[in-house]
Formats: sequence, C-alpha cells, structure tokens
Amino acid sequence: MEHFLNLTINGFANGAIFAALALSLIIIYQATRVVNFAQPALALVAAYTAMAVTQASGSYWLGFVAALVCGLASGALVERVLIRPVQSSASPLNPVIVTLGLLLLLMGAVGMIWGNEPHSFGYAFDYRGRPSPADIWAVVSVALAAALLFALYRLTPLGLRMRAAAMRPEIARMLGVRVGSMLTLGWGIASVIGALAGMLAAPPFLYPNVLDTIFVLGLAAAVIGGLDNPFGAILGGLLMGLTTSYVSGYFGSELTALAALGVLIVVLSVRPDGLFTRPTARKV
Amino acid sequence: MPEELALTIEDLDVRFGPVRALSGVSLRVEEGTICAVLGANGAGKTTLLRTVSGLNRPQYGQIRLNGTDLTSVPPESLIRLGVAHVPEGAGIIGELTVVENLRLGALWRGDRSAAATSLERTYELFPVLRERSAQPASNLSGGERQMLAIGRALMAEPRVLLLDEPSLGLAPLVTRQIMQLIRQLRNDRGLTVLIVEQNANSALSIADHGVVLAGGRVVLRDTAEQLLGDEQTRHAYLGF
Repeated sequence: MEHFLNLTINGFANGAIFAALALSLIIIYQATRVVNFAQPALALVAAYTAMAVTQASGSYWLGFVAALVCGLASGALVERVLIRPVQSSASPLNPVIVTLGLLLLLMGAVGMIWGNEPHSFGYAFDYRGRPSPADIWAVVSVALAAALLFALYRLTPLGLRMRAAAMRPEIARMLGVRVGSMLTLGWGIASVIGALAGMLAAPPFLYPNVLDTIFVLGLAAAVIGGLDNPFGAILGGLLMGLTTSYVSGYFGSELTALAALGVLIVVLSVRPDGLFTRPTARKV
Repeated sequence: MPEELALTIEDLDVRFGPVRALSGVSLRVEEGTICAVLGANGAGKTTLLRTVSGLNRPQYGQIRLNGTDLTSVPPESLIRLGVAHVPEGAGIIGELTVVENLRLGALWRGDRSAAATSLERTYELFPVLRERSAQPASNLSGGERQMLAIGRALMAEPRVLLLDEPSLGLAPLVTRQIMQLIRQLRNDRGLTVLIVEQNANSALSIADHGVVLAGGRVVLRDTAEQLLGDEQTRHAYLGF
C-alpha cells in the first residue's frame, strides 16, 4: 500500500512536468498549428542559463527567474526570426522542419558550450521524503502556471486578443489586433512554461539529452489530450505520469517507454482525436 | 484645398498574378451616404472591399478618407482611422462567446468605460445579442451572426462601415431587417456605408448611390433611384 502511495505521488510529480511540456506545445500549436519540436532544446538552454546564473550568484531562485526570462526571450525570438518567414510558405510542414533543425542545432550548441558530461543541478527544495518538498513544488508550480495561463487567456483583454489572433488571424487584424505580436508573445509564454518544465525535470544532473525522454512523454500527453485543449494537456500529462510511475514501480523501469506507447495507442484507437477534442467543422 | 468629407477611391488596379481583379475603379462615397456596389460573382466586389481595408494591395491607385491616404495602411490600423469592415460570411469567431466577439471590436481603443458605453448601445440596437451574450457565437442563427458582425464593427465607433454581402444566406425577411438597420445607422449616426451585394434589389432599396461592377470595371453608376427605376439596366446588369 505504501509502495502504491509512493508511486502515486511520484506519478503526480512527473505528470505535472509532462503536463507543463504538453501545455507549452499546445499553446504554440493552437496559435500557429506548429508542433514545436525545439521546445525541449529551448528548455535546455533555459536550464543551462539557470545553472550559470546560480553558479555566479549563489542563488537558486535567481537562476530560476533567469531560466523563465530566457524561455520568454528565446521563444519570442524563434517565432519572430525563424518561424514567421516560413509560416506563409506553401507547406505547413516547413515550420515544423525548422523547429526540428533548431532542436539539433541547440542541443549541439549546448554541448559545445557546456560540454556533454553531466553537471550537478540542484532541486528547488529538498528531494527526500514522500511526498518530498520538491514533489509538492512540481505540482504546485505547474498548477500555478496553468491557473495564471487560464486567467491570462480567459479574463484579460490581452488574452482575448491572443485567442482571436490564433483562431481567425485575418478577422483579428480587421479588428485592430496586431496578430504578429500576439503570435510572438504566445511563443514566448509557451517557452516560459517549457523552461519551468526543464527546471523541474533536469535535477539532479544537467546534460544535453536530459530532457529527451520527458519531451517524448510530454508530446504523447499533448496528443492524448487532443493537441488543442489545455485541460486535455494537463490530464494527459497526469495520465502519462501515473501510468509510467506504476509500470516502472511494479514491472520495472525498462518498461516505462513501452507503457507510454501503450497508453498512446489505447487512447488514440478509442478516441482518434484525443480525449478532449470536440469534433469541429472547419471551413476550408 | 477644402477638406473633402468622403471615402474616395481613385483609379484602383488590383492584380493577382496575371489576373486583373480590378481595373481603373473610381468611386466616391460622400460622408453620411450609402453606396451599393453591385455585380455578379467574380466581378471584383469583394476584392474592392478587401483592398479598401488593406487586405489586398493595389498595384495602382489611391484610397482616401477625408483627405487621409489609406492606400498603404495595414488592416490592423484601419479600424483606428474609423473604418470598420464586416467581411463576407460575417466573420464572427464561433469559438468565442457573443460578448467576447463584441469586446474584440472595441479592444484597440483601450478605454474600458467607452467600450462599456458602446456595448450598451449595441445591446439596445440588437436585444437578442444581450440575451445570448454568454453563448458561443457559433450557436447563433445566420441573421444573428450578421447582427453580431455589424454590432462588433459598431463597437469600434467607426465613421465608415464596409459591408460584404450582408444578405448572404439569409431569409428575405431577415435581409430586409438588416437593410433597414443599416439605413437607420446611416440616419442616426451619420455613418458612411460602402455595401457590396449580389442582392441588388435590397441593397438599392436603402442606398443613395449605386455602382455596377463587371469584369473588374465600373460599367454603370447612378443614384439608387435611377438604377432601380430603369428597367433596361435592371435586366442587363442586375438580373431582376
């Protein structure tokens, strides 16, 4: 029973991280119909930035803030400089390929700058105990981020502009919305959430491939949730977190990836559009 | 030079690759009047409106509002100059609620109390929108969608309203209501209206002037009365 409880707690803590990554993917997908494969690389750069700032200042939280700022800036920059020029191209695949290229480039660059060997990377809080303060922080920080996002998108004029720009860009322009700025901001915000996921997922060691598995599970969570629904992303993340935690706890950690794939297959064969996507008519 | 109080379109050429959508189109809509742009499918009516609102770029020609050059103004700035565009098919955002759609129209003003006043005015004009304010806009009927689109444009407190086929897909009775409303807006608020319609009869019934487009050129222009009264032109160009 205690084993089960521990696995559940562990599942929620990991699930929160997957949910954060899924959220960051979905914000961008909703706004620009691009799956941002560079998201883990942006989170990685943010985490290395945090490490550098923490080493220089001695403060974990200064590094944490630096990671979020780095996420905001890098996400916005990527949209403005790399994605915008290929967005209007004939193939919707082009921006996706650009993000894939950026992923490889940034992971290589991080390795060149900081080396490929693991650096120790601290937790925000003590990782001992079940639930440990670090586990609680993972769940609380992601819940807080999700709540802030919800408030921003649903309750503020800026959020209304961002939603309109994502849903009907041309109509939004006619109503005076600066659509380009809204998309840039959307990518920035998404990458802040991605950076948060990176800060939670990296400890105890930071190295260029540290986020690979987590990104795959986060992407699976986003797909399970329907790629279009933030609540779906959060629930998809938790589902992934709990499943992988139980499977690795009861059957061995080597089966984790297989379990994730199993969940993905089961969900998609029952609900091909994901758990939470309502069928919508699209005008062509 | 005396200040001209009008929306002026001069010698407009719009090409899409090798296709000439508009050739040498000139048009003048005096402040506080309604001008109907008529013509068959593909005559260039929608292109004309989209060019006025900056969504298409003309190769040649000029668009002015009260002496201000609008020709290279981007669409998101046009609403700030007092021109609101109700696109073909209403262009409401179905995933947003009715009131969110309306609020969008006034967001650029950045003035909450002015927006609240406009919202109240819009609800008085369209009581049905108040009743349905919290519903997704996709729940509305065709006529209500058109009302929402016009209401959203009015939230910007524009001086010029561009309307693209407001009667599209509506029952005759609803079309008449919408047309009466446009007439009322022009009378009460002094709005300048450029309305594009295939339904020539109903557009001319409220317009002051009319222009007939064919193959991207103006082939006929006159007062609405004359256009409605002259049987020959009605048969030749307007099909009724």
